[in-house]
Amino acid sequence: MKTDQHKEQPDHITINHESGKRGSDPRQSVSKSDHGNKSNRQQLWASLYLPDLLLDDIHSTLLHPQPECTTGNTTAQNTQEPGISPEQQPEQDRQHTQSRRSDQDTGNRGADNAEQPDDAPDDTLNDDPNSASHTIAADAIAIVERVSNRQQIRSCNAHAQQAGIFNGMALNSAYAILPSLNAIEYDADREALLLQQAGEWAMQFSSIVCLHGSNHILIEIGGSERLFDSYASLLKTIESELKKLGYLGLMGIAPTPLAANLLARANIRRGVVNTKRLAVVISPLPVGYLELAPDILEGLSRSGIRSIGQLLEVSPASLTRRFGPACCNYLDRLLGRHPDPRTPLRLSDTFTRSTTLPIEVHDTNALQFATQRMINELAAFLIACDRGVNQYTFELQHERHSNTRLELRFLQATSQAKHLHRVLSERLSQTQLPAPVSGLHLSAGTFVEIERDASDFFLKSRSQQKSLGEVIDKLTSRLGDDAIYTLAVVDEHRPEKAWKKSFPEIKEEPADNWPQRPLWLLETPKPVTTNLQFEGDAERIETGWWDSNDVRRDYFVGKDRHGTRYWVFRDRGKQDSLFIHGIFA
Amino acid sequence: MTLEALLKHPALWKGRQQHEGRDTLATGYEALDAALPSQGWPIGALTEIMTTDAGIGELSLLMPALVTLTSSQQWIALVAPPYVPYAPALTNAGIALEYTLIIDSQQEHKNAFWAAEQMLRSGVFSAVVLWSSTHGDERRQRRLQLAAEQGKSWAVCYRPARTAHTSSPAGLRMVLRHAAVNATANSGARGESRGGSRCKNAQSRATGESLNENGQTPGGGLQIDIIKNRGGRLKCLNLADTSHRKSNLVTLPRDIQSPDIQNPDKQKPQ
Repeated sequence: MKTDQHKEQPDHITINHESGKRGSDPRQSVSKSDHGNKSNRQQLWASLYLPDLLLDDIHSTLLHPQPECTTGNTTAQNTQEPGISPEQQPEQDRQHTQSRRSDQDTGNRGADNAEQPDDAPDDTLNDDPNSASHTIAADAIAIVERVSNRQQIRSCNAHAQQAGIFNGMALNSAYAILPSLNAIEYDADREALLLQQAGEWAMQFSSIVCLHGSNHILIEIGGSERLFDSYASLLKTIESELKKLGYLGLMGIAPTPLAANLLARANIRRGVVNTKRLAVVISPLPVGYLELAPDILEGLSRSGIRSIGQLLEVSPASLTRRFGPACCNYLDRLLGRHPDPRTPLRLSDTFTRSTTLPIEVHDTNALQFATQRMINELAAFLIACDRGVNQYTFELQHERHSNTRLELRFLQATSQAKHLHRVLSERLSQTQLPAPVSGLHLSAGTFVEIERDASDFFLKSRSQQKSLGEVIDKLTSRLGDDAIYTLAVVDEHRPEKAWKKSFPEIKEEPADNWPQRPLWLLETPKPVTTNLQFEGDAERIETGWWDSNDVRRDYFVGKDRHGTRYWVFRDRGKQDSLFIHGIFA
Repeated sequence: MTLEALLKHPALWKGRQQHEGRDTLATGYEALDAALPSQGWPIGALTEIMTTDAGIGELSLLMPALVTLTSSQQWIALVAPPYVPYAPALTNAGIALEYTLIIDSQQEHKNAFWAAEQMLRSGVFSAVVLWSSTHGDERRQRRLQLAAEQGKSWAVCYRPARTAHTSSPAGLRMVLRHAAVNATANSGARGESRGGSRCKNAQSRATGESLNENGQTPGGGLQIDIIKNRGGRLKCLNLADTSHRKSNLVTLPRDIQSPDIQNPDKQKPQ
């Protein structure tokens, strides 16, 4: 797969140089000595190879009656890939996709779990492989594509493989083996969309993220090292976040984009920082991993060139004569001898995510996993664009009913997945579903600057304000918007109109002094039933003809025999009726 | 083990000093401050206030402390107030309304408890005042007490006077009544021993004073029976007026008797 993007933005390296996220790289001095690297700052690319976006997407939206259950897929990923870091020892070369899936199976059975990484402390999922088998995730799923009039399996999950289904098998044969197979049509547009969305997610790690082909995300991590303390911690973060997103990916790290892709596809988990070392590392790999046109690959194999090392020994002139300039050009860019500029991905203006649920859901609890994933993506998007949301809309789509629309508001803009999700799940638990849910839609349109925590240690009010927003959001999501308010005084003589509900963020006019008023006001005045002793002068409150709520009242303070003091009024014109309007508490 | 070492043991209860340095909030009433350990409302503990009726000055009792808090830009919350907290009266008292949050959840009382607990626990609110219309049980009160401890804020819970008999984990419990009311009418307050005999004296004195002061109307003050006072003594005291009022007496043309004060919907003003 080749990109034709190298015409654009040849100077992007310089631009990125000045961006605030990047600091000077301590490894720069090492890279300067690298031959062929013309840039004075070394770029380092992490390539995420996501071979089965569609399958993973379906897996991660699968519904879990118990939130602690995970898909077999996610579990497999956990066992398979310990933290990749440039320091790590080389791994056995593996055939991708097919063998990767079978590796997972052995991983699932716990055969070689020596590499099982420690669960991240913030990981809420319980990755117990055994718990997965009882959920829908146990179902076999396959992505099906049409190849010259024949429907065949493009990829399938571990359960399908256990049943004996393999990639490239005809759908009919697969059905014969496993009648319960869930066959899902391959959708290239959907795959492209997922890659784009995953790319936006990746922009939380670096400001330069490029999409490559239909399965690769390139993250320029050279500049992000400082931000995340070290490459090791950055890569660990990327991995754990990717796992939360539900994608199964392979990562490769190399100074050039193409080499990173190559290492990712070949599942070489030792990152290469140095361009010189690159050739050594990739030499033993078969030429089949290279992104060259099929006819070139065929030509190479006919010439007896099996490994990349052999290919590199051939002189460029003879390669060009034999296969045209594309092959040499590719190798130059692969090894960093020629620049390989790319167009970085840009964030879209709005954030929308839609998910179609594989089966209808009757219980909001079962949505937790799918919502968590959408929220994670939203949070990553917000981190990437360095903004927060005040509100977002969450829609539950029903097959035979109008959609349930939830508007979630936040007192203060936030980008924290935890907070965003807590408010949503609180709200969902309060929501009665009118019909089964068939799809989810999340959209956020307006992003605002997040108020940063004041760096002043002694300034308490700011941090207090921050968590005030969280408390209020939490209360609001359970009690409803109307239940929580502050008070404000209205300049109005009629007592029942002299106050109004306000909201914590709204600044109101400072209040004047009022005549004596009771602390409690009765929303509906009550008729007086007991003997009251009256004290003080009457206060006359009159008129309001302009809004047809005319009042003509005389107010008194009256005390009953228990000592309770009431604010009572008598309607002028109706001498008999005496009403309690307030209590001096 | 020497006596010194023994005295330093954290589990050892020392009557005199145990409340030294405890955070309190001045009540604004000298007599009440004197009666409370460390001279004020206990912060990080639950204060239970039991009243027979609304409107005897139970809210005014808290006002000076709440004013202190809001004017120093600290948040307070009123949870499930039985009536509309009237903004003009609150500003008159000096409350900064922009730091006063109202949680209106009278329909579901369970939610009110939950909300109060959340707010106390967060530590964002310096005072949370909860009106508990239901009986409430000890377990709930304990949770409020714990939440107040955790969030280091001042929790106040208004409860019906009949709950004075029940035990409660609150740090401070008091029964409010109007000083004029005969003690027999509110014998509920006698639930917890020692205060009883003292109360009688204090009350008769109080009644006498207020009669002298006021001349016309008996009981100008609020009588406070402290029935539980962790680290302090049980006491019965009489506060002079908690509100400012004029003493001119007005007589209406006639006394009006109308049906049922409990049901507001039967008769509405025009």
